[in-house]
Amino acid sequence: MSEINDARSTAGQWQLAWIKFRQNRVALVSGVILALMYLMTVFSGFLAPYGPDHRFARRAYVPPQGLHLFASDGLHLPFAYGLSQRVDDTGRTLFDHDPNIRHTLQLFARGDTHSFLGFETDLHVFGIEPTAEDGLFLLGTDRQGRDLLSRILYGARISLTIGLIGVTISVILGAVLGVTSGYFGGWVDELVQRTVEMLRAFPQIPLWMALSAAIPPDVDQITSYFMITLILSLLGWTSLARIVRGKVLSLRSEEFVMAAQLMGASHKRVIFRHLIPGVLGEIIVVATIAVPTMILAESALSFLNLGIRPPMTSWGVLLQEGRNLTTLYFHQWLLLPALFIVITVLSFNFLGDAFRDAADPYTE
Amino acid sequence: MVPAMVPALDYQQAPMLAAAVERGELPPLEQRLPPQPMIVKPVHEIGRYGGTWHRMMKGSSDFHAYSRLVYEQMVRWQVSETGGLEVGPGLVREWEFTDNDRTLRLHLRRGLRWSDGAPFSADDVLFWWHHIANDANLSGSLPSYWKPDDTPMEVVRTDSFTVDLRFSKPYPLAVMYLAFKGNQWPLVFERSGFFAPRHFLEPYLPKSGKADVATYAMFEQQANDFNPERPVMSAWRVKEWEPGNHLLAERNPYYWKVDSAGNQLPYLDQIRMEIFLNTEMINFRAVTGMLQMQQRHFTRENLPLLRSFTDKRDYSILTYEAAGIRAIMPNLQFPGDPALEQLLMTREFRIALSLAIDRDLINRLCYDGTGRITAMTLHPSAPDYVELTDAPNYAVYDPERARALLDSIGLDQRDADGYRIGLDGKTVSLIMELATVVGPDMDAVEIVRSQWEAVGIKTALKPEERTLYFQRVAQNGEHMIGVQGAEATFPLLSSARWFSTSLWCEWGHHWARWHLSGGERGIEPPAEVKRLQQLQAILSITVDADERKRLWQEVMRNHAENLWVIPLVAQATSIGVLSNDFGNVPERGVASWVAMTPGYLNPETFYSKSARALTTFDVRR
Amino acid sequence: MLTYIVRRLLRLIPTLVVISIMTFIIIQLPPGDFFDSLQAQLAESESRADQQAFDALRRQYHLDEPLWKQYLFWIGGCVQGDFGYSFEWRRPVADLIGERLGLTFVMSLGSLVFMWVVAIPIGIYSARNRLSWSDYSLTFVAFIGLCIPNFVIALIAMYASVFWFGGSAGGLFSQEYKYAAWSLPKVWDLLGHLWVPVVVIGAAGTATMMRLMRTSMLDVLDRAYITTARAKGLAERWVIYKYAVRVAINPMISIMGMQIPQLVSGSIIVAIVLGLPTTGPLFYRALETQDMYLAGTFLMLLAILLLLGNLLADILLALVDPRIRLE
Repeated sequence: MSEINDARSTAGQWQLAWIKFRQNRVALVSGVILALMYLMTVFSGFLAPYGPDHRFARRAYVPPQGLHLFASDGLHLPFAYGLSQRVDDTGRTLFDHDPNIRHTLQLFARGDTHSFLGFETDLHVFGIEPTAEDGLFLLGTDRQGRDLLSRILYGARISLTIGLIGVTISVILGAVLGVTSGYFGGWVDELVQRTVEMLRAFPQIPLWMALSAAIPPDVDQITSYFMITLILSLLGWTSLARIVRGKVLSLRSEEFVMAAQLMGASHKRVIFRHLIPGVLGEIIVVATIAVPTMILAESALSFLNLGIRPPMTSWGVLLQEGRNLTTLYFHQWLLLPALFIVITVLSFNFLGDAFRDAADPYTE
Repeated sequence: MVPAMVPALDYQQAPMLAAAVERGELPPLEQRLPPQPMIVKPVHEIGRYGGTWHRMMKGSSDFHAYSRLVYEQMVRWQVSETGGLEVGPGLVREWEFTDNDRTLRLHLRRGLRWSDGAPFSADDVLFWWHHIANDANLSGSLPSYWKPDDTPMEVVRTDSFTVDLRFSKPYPLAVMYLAFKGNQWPLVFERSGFFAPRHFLEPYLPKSGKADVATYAMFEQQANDFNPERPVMSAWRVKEWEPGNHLLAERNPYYWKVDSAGNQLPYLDQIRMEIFLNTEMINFRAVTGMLQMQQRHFTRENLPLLRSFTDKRDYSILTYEAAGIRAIMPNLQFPGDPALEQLLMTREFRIALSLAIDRDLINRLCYDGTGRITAMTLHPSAPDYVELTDAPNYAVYDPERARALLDSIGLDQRDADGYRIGLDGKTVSLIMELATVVGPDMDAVEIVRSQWEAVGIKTALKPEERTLYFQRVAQNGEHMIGVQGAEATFPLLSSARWFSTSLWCEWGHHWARWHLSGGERGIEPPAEVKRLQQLQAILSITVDADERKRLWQEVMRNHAENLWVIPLVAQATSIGVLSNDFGNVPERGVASWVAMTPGYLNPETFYSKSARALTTFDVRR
Repeated sequence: MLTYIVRRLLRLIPTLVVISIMTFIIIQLPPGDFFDSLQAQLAESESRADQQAFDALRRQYHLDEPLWKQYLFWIGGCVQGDFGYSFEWRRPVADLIGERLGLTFVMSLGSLVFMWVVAIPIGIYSARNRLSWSDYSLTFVAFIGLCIPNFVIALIAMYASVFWFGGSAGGLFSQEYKYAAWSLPKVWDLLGHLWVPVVVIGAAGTATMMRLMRTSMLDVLDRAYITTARAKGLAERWVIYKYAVRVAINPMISIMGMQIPQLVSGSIIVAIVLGLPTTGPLFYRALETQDMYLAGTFLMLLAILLLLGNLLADILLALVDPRIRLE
């Protein structure tokens, strides 16, 4: 016991924060979940049984098919049933299991080619043998017969990274401008302050909508991805700039800064060695909370067809199908991307909360 | 010649009008009806007065949703005995061609009145002609269909009820155009028309001398279709227009048509158009049973959903034939790559592409099997309908033959991915552009893509915003392959994809440019296409019905042999909902924008079976 | 106090000018104009209009003039209350927005009331029973409300209202009252429909407020004067409500001013999904069709609302917290 106390009493600021953080179970779980999510993004090509545009001609709107262990003749390795179709009296196509056709789950199966770090490969973590008609539809298929799980995994690439990249841009912009404004004061400060005020005067969602509507329709996918990221990060940097500026203002009058200046340290050195570390904690907290906001914003914009547009996929684009009353009534599984959004956003929020608690020396 | 006396029918009017007459607000019925009202026989039975028709529209640019219901033209489309469409009388009682078919004489009905009681006469046509069509501040140059052979027509007033249209050469199509574009100006954004209420608009004309464009704003506002004060000749007139919310139209007390029992039409008291900004709303309204009859904006995707609620909500599904042929149209003068251009121009290449498509599959998967597989031919409802005989049909599925053909034209080498290599040594890579993003049409094209790849042609899809598609195709002609529908009931009126005489023609944009500029610009077309361009001109002046049929045979054969256009699936049905309470709606019909469906189906005879002279709608739970 | 308010209002004016310029620029960013997009729309539904017919209209609406001139036309009008003309609807923008503004406010106010009525008591309860199971589960529920995208909640609400309740789906009125004049039954009808969008829109805000209230309460409950009050023997309820809540609620009041404009802009997406007759869907359509005065005016109005909300928040804070007043 006393050892721990000793450790705590001599620990630096960061170590204290880490200890505190470690105690928050929920945050740890969230952290793990997020790490897994991002790993999933990197390896989506391997994890997804199919490519995002692999269409199965006669398998539109297949409900989620699980894997089965038991068949009429006892226990098997996990397998998926083949499907047979029939049409009901409203014209809707329904799918039944064909007990005679079984596709066994394979590990490290061969499937659609995808690229990874510049290499082309057709290896997948799991799958079934490639057939023309049937597929492994763990989460069902969409209107064009594409596997939902695969599309969710590929959609994660955009949904998860837009938040990160957007926040990175915001952080850089916000930190630089906030520090400059707080440290140098004078007309620089006035100018930045005014700009921040202007931007903050605009309500976010309508501004995002208006700017997204301005993206010309003929730009290619990469460009439009970056434009949307820019738009999202535009409003993020303002609050960060204000917080940073506030902190810098208060730190500026601290003795150690004066001491450094008296000792002849250049502005650059003061900023980078002294001010920014002091502000870093705040930045991390704000950034962590900003990511889910951006993820939600991107999904809302894409849902409205203002953000990422087909044929690119993101979770918001996938949810566009939900606008269709037929989907809501018959094919509810197509709303599953919302679950992924919720989990991601929840995790970031828990994490951000935990960071905030950890960094704050006053709470127990 | 004195017209036959009116038979001894007692004319009746709607109770709400009778009440207004009692109160002294309206003159009695005999004074409102013309001496010889037009008699319209309802398709099923005599209806009842009362009720409201609830429909939905998407916004101001969706004006067709309302305008088609008040389809009231000089002459109009009607159903012929054979079930096709033909031109019939409207505001014009009868017409004839004189002077070697170069003059069309229109005899207007006598005694008609505008919805505010003022008399309707030839002056209203002339007003349009002089002050609207020929005023550069209101209209651009005269539309091409009113200046065949580049000579503007002359509109001459012979007497109060007779108007002559004089052309420089025989122009039988004029009657068809009157049925298509002979409405009250301006039809909102379409800016077309043939008459306008002179007594009402004349005071709003900017005073001569002050040709300031801005002063036309008032005129525009008064003339606009959604202006409640504007007098009309149609069955209903706008009573309330709340943009973004709803449009309310009420019966026109001066409407000049009666049914075969002498009841003044229309039966329905009101039309309520709800404005929705979210496309899914219409499905919501349908499945809660709140629409009486609507076909616009429904897509086949929602058919199972709509069918699921038919019993609970007391409606049925309406299916009309959509008279269009969905087709893939390669840009035969593709400017981007000479080798590709040559390939696209090679007939065997197009034939191979056509043979590689399994249209049956597409029909089943995308259109519920309701489409028709056909070559580029007329729809049975077309006025000039004739069957194509004696021509090759490449709208069949034969991938083996497709592969053999491709091999035979020199595309037998494959690259590392298995795609065919062109004669220039590069992989043949096709790009199909289309103006839709989702929907069965998109799915169909997607299947085509996979089938072309199956025979070794690398293909990509490029769905794009309509604005962009329009720009690339109609303005610049820089697309490689476009996908659109070709009108098959009125191809002469919407001829873009048949004759390569319009910049809209995906497969012949630059040839059309050559044709339209008299050879100055664009690219000179090959002889067969020149023949097509000629055929359009000939058809537009040929009056004899048999000769027209023969000409059409030639057109269709030209298309069948050369396969300028690769047809996909034609005439998939267009769906709608019809409340079981709503009567006199025909079961069969053609969904055509030229015929302004449902305008040609006589909506003034639609009625509500449970009508009790209501003015509000009972919500069914 | 009065001078403070006047001073702040005066400071707003240059901000407003810059905002109007920025709004105009943003609205003009998309390539082409209303008539270009209209032409493409018409072309798709196979009606066609002559390019020159549109040119005449363009001249009428000054769309062929240089941008700065168009801006001056617009802003000159705005100052006089004429916010331009909507090309799509052919009505003055002021009329269009004005018609829908009432319902928009009613809905936002409803959400505000919902948020306060739900979040404050739960926040207090959560703080009093901190770290208990109910606290954790409430926090969790709050988080969920924060994390589900509001359009997903709206979709689920739509589904429920159509397929479970069989009610007139979407919209704020049943068919029979929709076009009728205002009356007491109509108000009831509105309330009956209003709760769906109010709950959906308020969900995220409620969650945030719940947590904020909880934090604020926890902060206050630790303070010395609370302990003193307890030590003096005051009833617990008295302590909580008379003292703790009164102080804890201050930061909440300060955000109330901001909440209305945030709710108005946050309601846009929900209103689009649910098809409500409020300003949101109108704005969305204006963006789609490049109906620029409509879109621009709406954006500017929202910005002004936000600025005023800020001002209101500061004023409220000054009113409520006596410490600030003394500055």
